[in-house]
Amino acid sequence: MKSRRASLGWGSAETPDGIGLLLLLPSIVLLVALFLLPVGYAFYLGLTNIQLIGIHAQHYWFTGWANIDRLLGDETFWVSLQLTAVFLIGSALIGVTVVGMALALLMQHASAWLRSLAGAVAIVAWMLPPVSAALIWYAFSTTGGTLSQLFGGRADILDNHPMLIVCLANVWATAGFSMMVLSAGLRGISAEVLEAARMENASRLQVFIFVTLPLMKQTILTNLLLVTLIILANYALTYIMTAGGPNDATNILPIYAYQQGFQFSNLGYGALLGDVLVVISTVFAYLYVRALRPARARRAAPAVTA
Amino acid sequence: MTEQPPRLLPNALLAIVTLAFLAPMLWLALASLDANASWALRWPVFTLAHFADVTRGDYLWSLWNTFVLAAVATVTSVVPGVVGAYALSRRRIPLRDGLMVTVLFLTGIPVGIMIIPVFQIFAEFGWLSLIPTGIFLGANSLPFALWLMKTAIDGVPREMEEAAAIERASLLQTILHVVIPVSIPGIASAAIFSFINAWGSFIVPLVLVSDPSQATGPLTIYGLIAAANVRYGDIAAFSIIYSLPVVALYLILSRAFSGGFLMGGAVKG
Amino acid sequence: MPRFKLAHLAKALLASAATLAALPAVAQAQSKTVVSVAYGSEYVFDTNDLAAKWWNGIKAEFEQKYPDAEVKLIPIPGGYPDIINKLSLLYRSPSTAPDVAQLPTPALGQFQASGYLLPLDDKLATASWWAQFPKAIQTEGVFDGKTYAVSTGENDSQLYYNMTMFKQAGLPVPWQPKTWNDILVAARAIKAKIPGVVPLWLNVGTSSGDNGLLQGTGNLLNGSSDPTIQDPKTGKWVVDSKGLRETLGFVKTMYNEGLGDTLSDLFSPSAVTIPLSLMATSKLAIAVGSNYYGGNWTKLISSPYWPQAPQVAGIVPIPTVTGQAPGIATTLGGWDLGIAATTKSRDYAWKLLDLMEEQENQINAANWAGFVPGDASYTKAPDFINFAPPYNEVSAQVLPYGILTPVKAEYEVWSHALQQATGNLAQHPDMTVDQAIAAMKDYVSNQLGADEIETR
Repeated sequence: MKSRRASLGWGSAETPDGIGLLLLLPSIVLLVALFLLPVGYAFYLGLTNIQLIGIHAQHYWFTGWANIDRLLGDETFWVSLQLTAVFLIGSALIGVTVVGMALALLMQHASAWLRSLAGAVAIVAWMLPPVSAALIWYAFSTTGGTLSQLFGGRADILDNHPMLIVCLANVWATAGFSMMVLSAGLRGISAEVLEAARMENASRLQVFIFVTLPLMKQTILTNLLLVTLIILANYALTYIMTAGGPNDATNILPIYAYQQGFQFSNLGYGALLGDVLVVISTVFAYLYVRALRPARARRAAPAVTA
Repeated sequence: MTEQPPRLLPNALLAIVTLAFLAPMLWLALASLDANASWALRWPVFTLAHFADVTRGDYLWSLWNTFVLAAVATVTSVVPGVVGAYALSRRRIPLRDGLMVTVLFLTGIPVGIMIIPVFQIFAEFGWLSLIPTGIFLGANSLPFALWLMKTAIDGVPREMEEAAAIERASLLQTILHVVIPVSIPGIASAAIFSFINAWGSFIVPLVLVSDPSQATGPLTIYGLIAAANVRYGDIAAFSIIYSLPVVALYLILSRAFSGGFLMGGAVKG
Repeated sequence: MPRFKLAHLAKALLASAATLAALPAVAQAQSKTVVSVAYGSEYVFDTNDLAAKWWNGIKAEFEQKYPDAEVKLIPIPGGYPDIINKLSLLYRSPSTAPDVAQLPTPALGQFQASGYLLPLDDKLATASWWAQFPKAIQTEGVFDGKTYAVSTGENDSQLYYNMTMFKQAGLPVPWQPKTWNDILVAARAIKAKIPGVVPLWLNVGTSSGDNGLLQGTGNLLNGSSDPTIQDPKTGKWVVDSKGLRETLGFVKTMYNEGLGDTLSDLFSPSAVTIPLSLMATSKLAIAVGSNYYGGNWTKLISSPYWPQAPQVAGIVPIPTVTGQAPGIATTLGGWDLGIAATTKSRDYAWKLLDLMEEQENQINAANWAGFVPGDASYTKAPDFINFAPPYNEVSAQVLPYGILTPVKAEYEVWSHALQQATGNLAQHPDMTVDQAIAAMKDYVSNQLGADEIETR
């Protein structure tokens, strides 16, 4: 065994693996050059007074804590942060996770043709580019649109409940992804375990809560993290629908960062707001790793393939 | 399982959910065929003029541009990604776990934050065109692709590689003939993810692609909204045409992998 | 910055290698001077086809006149903010900076402050058309005593009203409102006598950005008792003044009484185009509108085509609040042409600019994009007047009354705050003008600093 592994070059705990690093090199080059470097530069710009156009467009300099001081005292920023929290809870946490789980569960028990149709529809909604999805939802929720017709034709759901519509639109556009992740997780639960629970005369709901959910913990958390990151990163959908409005009612942080950088020309401050988003993503990633740690320690054998 | 549980309730509920998903798309279908299209949902005055309008040369050209962009992005993320994922899965990489988490959180970095520095660099090198933009988008999808493919490769039984080693296969042959075929579902997921990301990308080509003859689908649709004279029917028709290739891709692949392929290995991460 | 030095070095090496390799070829083929020009390809002209027609025409005309030069067109798709953003990015590097660019008037100050533009005074001294520009239009591009950009077309605002509906409601035709109250009186009469139509269109809210202000409440502010936006003496931004209160008061009254359009129309991303179709389908009685309306209703532009427009839609200048001098109110803004400070083809860039300012090209641009030409003599030309009678004539007449917006970047913040105030007043009937002013004060002082605002 050992010699075969050695001949495969899997390396050992002591020696670093030259071939491994070589294989990883193209990815590292791409990530560093086109990802880390620009992000690092953006972090630097966040601490300067650079403007999009204006006296500091070409002649700008490092301003130390100035932008951070501004951030801490910026009411609009704190409101935006709140809106972002509401938005993420509404769309990622509640919306996508619940709808995705509902889809995955229902699809498991439904007839084959309906399963294919539902899957295809959810996937199409996910695959539609944000520009098209934004148009669809704008038409859907504005006066005269489909949703509006249900409430008497003249109701303007979009302008009167903008955050709700924006959350719904993001749920609609991301649930397909969630459905796929959670379906795979559900499939990984062995039938024997479920049978054993049913044998104990547990009701369907009890089986779900006490058997399925705990076994799905890893999948659910993974899905939640991914969906949160995806929704946070894809603000084009929200931007095209409302541009943060009406009157800053949906001014979530990515949109506020864009507004500061490109509308008010405060490119430096806008970059700092974008940096806050990176920090938020890091926090989520860290929490995810912490939440999974006990599970990792307990895992002994390699996982069953789905 | 000796008995099939009754399907009525799941079917009914799923049907409701499906209809809820379909409802917003209704406007798209109707407006694209409506001579007097507007934001409102209304029974159309039937016409195929909108579809005729948006299958003109320059629109089809923008579809082709989008395809080139997405293809370049997919290749850029999958090819380095596969070998990189193999390394992360099988080889001794220092700080591997930390690297994986970093890679994961890179997934969440908003592209907008990088767009100015990248524009400046690309402008310096004269790379403000479709293919370099595709490479950039590929690099953006690389973190998630690495993650997906690594967990897929994790699921390849080591015995298979050991068997190949007995047959005196080189590393390259092992990767090509053993690892890749078995982890195809994960690789396909990564490819699809990169493709869709690039296909739908809006802000990146808007900033990085200078030449209007290289405009991609989202830019064209956006132009239709931003124009002084908004043509809703054309927008709806073009949105449909623009979404078709990706839907076709999904249907073909889901048939090939019986619908259960996507994210298959990922969740065991 | 060290990072870019490496890029510069690499590029220089590559460039010199390429040059050495290409020398023999260059000696044979005499390369033409390339002049690049950047412009909005979808937003500026009334239709994309007309935009292409005008620009391709310029290119053809220029290349025929100067056979040793070539025009490189850089069209910028998208809307107004996209044009500004793309231009901002293009100017960042001399290799991408357009030799000539079509710049929006409100942003001229910032482009100039960035150091991107070339002073044009020495060239303008030789231009025959420059003297015909009214002083106010000439100063549009003047910063620190030098001229950096010249107008290629202006927009201003007027009132449009449906004469048939007016007669039906017992209102005088032709209509000559002298005060803002006259407007409200007419709108109320329409609401009472003609149900099912929108009495008055006035743009509010943030969806249309700066343009919404220029085509909407900005006109009212300019006709109020105190139109000051930025105090010329202190440089501070006015967040509370008699003028602002009069303007916001009008907005509140109008929307409280249900004289305006629905929120979904007002907050739509394409709000500014809505009154055009509402008027053409007789669903709107009065509109605070823009000079491009008349052109849009012609067959050539057709957005939408309203052949009866000249008989049904009257046009009259917007009055000042109490009819005080000068009696007419309008905003002023449009598009200008500038030459890049880093241009390598100064002479040809100027020749291209000069060509674009010629009468026929300017009148075509005016007709196809809904402008009033900057050159006063062009505005009297029959080709312009007769393109959309009687509208173009009146648009030209109110041009001298226009007031430009402040040139500083901070104006965007002030503008956003006022847009929010108008939008909130329209959406929330129980909000008072005091509350709206307080919110505006809060927002501007939060964004720009408490010592940058003032009350008058």
